[in-house]
Amino acid sequence: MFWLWLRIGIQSFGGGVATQFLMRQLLVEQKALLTEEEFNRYFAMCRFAPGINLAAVTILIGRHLDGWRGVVAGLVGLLLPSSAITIAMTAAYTSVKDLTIIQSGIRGIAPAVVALGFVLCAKMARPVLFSGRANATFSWKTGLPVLFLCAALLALLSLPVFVIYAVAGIVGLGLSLAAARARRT
Amino acid sequence: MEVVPFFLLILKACALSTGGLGPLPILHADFIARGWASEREFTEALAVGQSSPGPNGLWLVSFGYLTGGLTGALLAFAAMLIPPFSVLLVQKVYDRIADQTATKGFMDGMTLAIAGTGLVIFGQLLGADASNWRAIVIFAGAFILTMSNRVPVILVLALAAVAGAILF
Repeated sequence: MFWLWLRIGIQSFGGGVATQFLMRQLLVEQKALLTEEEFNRYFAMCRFAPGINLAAVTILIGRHLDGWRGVVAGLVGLLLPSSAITIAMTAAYTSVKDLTIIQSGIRGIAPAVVALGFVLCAKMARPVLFSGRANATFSWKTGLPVLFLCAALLALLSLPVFVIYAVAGIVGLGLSLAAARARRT
Repeated sequence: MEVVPFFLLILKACALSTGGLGPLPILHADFIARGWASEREFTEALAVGQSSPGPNGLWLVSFGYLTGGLTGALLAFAAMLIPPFSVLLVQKVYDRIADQTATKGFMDGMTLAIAGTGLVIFGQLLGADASNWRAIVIFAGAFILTMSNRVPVILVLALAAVAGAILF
């Protein structure tokens, strides 16, 4: 089990999507340790848990496959080698970061990281804003103002972020209950 | 570095958010306010995190290293491991809460908040370069390449680094 998770951990260059892809390929398609349905169900559960989703799904799958031994094998295999590589890469970067060419390179990387972040935010919000389902909590007409209001609350009022999360969550909860009541009547 | 507050702040950011980049807004607010990190260190950690193997959330380990050395990296690693265990509680109640309208509504609202505050935090990472035409050109190029979904993230970052080395 450990070697299986290790393979996933060190091969998955490209972030969470690549890791999820490799997990599905190895655990479901090649080794048939999980059904497609179980795999999807575990990923769906992780949306409700805080922290790194891939760590949470590893805990669920590890426990399913081999109890607490599976959890430890999963987390150690997935995260320890990749974390060690991340530390080594950061240490290597730290030792050359003062070179002029590296400074210029990092100045170029910053706008790219911002672009990646913007795309990630858009991809995160898209299923909520454009689900097209009749029972959706938000349409783009109600969701976009909430999204930009949250941005404004942080940018202009510097409200604590978790307060903004809670307020938006309560707005979503209120809207979904109101819509459900309207559908019933 | 104050070990306990350092660990607790990262734990708090992970426990009050979801996903690999979810802790960014809370961590940004706490670390910048205390003067424990600069915008630049956030950018550097995110760039390393996106380039290294494994989940996106490993940028926290890089961030820990940049702001607190090896001890900081190990503290960040430990802090990010704890909150995901709450998924075992979710598993117990999942069948009761998953299809609840209220649960879905709350999660949808929170997702929009994470995306909205994320836009602000990522925007702030540019700092003084936000009005620099070279940075805007690199931003636009990276945005188009990322949106196309055809170019690996690590290649986008490598191209941006080369463009930065040439332009700046």
